Amino acid sequence: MSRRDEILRIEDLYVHFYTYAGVVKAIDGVNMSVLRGETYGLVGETGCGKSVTMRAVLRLIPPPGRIVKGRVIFNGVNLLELPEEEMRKIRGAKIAYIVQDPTAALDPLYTSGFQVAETILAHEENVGKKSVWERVVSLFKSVLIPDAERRVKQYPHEFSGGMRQRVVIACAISEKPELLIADEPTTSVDVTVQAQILEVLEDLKKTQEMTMILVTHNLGLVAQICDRVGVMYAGSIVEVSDVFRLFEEPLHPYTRGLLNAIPHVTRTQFRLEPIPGTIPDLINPPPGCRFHPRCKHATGICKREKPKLREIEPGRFVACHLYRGD
Amino acid sequence: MKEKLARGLNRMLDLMGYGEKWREWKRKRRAMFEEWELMYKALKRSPLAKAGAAMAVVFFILGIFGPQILALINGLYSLLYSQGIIKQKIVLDPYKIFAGPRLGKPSLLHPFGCDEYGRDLFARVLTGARVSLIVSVVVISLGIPPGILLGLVSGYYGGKVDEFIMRVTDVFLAFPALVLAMAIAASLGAGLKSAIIALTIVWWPSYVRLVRGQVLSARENVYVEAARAIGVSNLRIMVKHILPNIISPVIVLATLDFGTVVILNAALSFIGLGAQPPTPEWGRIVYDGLDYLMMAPWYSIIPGTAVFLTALGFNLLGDGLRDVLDPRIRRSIEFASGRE
Repeated sequence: MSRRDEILRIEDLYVHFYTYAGVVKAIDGVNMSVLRGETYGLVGETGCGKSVTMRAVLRLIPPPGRIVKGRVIFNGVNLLELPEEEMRKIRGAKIAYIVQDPTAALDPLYTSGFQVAETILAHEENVGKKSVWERVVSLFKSVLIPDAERRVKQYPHEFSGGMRQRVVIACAISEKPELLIADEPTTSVDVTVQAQILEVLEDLKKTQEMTMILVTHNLGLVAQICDRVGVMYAGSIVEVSDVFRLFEEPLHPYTRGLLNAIPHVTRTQFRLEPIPGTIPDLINPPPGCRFHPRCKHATGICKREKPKLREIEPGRFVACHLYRGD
Repeated sequence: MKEKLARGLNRMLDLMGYGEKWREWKRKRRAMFEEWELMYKALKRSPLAKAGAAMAVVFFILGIFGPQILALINGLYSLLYSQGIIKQKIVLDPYKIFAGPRLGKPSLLHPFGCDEYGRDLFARVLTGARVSLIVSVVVISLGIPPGILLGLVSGYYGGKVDEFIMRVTDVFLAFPALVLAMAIAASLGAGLKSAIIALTIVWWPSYVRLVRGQVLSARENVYVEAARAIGVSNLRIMVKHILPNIISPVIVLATLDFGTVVILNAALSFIGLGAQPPTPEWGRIVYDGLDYLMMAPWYSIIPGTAVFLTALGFNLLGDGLRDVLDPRIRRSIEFASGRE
C-alpha cells in the first residue's frame, strides 16, 4: 500500500530507561507503520516493549525513561517535536490510549460520568454543562452500558470490572479519535466479558472509522480481530505481516516459536513446544540479533550483525538473516 | 433528637425558600454525607479522639467568645453586687490593675487568682485563648497553602524543579523550628506580629515534604496516567486528581500542628520574642509568674496548663482523625467494636 494511507509511522525509535542498575535499552530501533482504518495487532511477550512503544507515541514514557531518538509521525507531523501543549491537545482527541489496567484507570473520587465529561472538557471550550452531560449519557449507551442515565452518576467502585472497562473506552472515544490504542484491553477480565468488550471495540471501529492498534500477548485475539500484525521481541519489531499469512506461514523463528507454543484444537499433539531460554537482559542485550541465543537457526552473522526489517514478499516484513535477499 | 433537629432545619430552610435547593444539593453529595457520617461514627467510638475533639472545641469557643463570656460573668457579678450578696464591685478585665488582691489566691470571685498587679488571671487566661487562636489560625492558613502548592509542583514535575524546591526546603528544615522562628522573630523585633510572621515562615517546609512524598506515590496511580492519556492538563490533574487523594494526611498534620503552633507561640512569648506585655499571652503569663513561683504557683501553672491542654487536645484529635480518614483503618475500628 502506498504511504499516503499511513496514519502513524514510527521510524527508528529508541527508548532507554536510565536506572541505577544501568541503561535499559527497552526499545531498540522500532520501525512501524499503521495504515488508516486498519486494526493493527502488536504482539510479543511481557517486557518486550509493546507498551513502551505505544506510550512513546503519546510521549507518556514515565521517568527515568527517555526517548533517545527516532520519529513518530502522525498524520505527517512528528509528534516528538511538538510542544507539550500541542501534544496534550492530541492526546485523547486525535490519539486515544486505553491504559493497560482499565479497572484502575478511574479516579475513585469522581463519578464515572464526570470522568468521561472530563475528556470532553479537556478538548472543547464553551460547551454547555447540559450538552456535555447528554453526550456522556449517549457515550455510555454506545459502549452498551445498560441503564446509562443512572450509571453516569455512580462511582467507579459501584461498577464491575467489565463495566469499568467500558467507561474507560467511553472516555477514549468521546472525542472521536482517529487512532485508538488499546493496551491489553482484555487481560483483567474474564472470557465472556472479553468477548463483549471486543464486540464493543469492533463496533465502534466500524461506526466511527477509527484506526486501532491492539497491544496484546494473546494471539487468539489477534487472529480474531486484527488485519495486520507486528511481532515484537526484546525491543524491536521482528516481523510484520497480514494476519492470515502470519498464522499460515510464520517467517521469523521467534514467531514460529510463539505459534508452536499455542495448543491447537485440530492437531493431535501431546506436548507443546516452548521457546528455549528466557528473554534477554535488556541492560546488556546480546550483540547482533537479540534473539540469537534462543534461535535454532542462529549462525555466525546473527551474533555480529543486527538484522534489518526487510520486505521479503509484498506486505511481509521480517528482520532475520535467514531471509537475506542474496 | 437528631431527627428532630434535621426536621427543624428542613422547616427553616423551607420557610426561607431554600428547602428544595438544599435537599437537591444534599442528594447530589449523598456519598460525601454518608462518608462524613461514617467518619463521625468512627470518631465517636474512640474515647481519646472524643476527648481531643472536646478540648479543641472548648479552645475554639473560648477563643471566639472569650469577651462575651467575660461580659456575662461581669453582668452576673454586678447583679450580685446590686443585690448585696457580694461586698465589693468586681469587674473581670484582663488589663485592669488592682481589680483584686495582688497575687491573690484562687477564690470564688477570682477563680484563677490574681497577678502581681492585681489583674484577674481568669480574664487574662481567657483572653489568652483568643490570642493563641488567632496566631494558630493565621499561621496554619497562611503556612499550609504554599507548602501544598510547592509540594504538588515538586512531586509532580520531578527533575530539576523538584531538586530546587526540595533543597530550599531542606535548608529551612535543617534548623529546629523554634530556633529558626526565634532568629526570624528577633530580627523582626519582638512582638506578636513578628511571632506570627516567623512561625508562618517556619511552617511551610514540613508540608512541602509531606505533600511531595504523597504526590510521588499518588502520581503512579493508573488513573493519573489515564487522565494524561486523554489529554487532561497537568494543572487539572494536580488539583483534581492528585490533591483530593492525598489531602487526608495534610488534614491530620494540620490538626496536630494547631497544638504545635500554640506551644511554639507560647515559647516565643516566654523568651520575650512574642507578644509583649500587657498582651495576655499564655507563654508570657507563665514567664511573668516565674518570679512568684514559690508564693503564687497558680500564676504560672494555670496558663501553662492551658497551653498543655490545648496541645494535648489537638494531638488526640489529630490521632483520631488519622485513623478515621483512612478507610482501611476505619473499617478495622468498626470491625473491632463489633457494631458494623
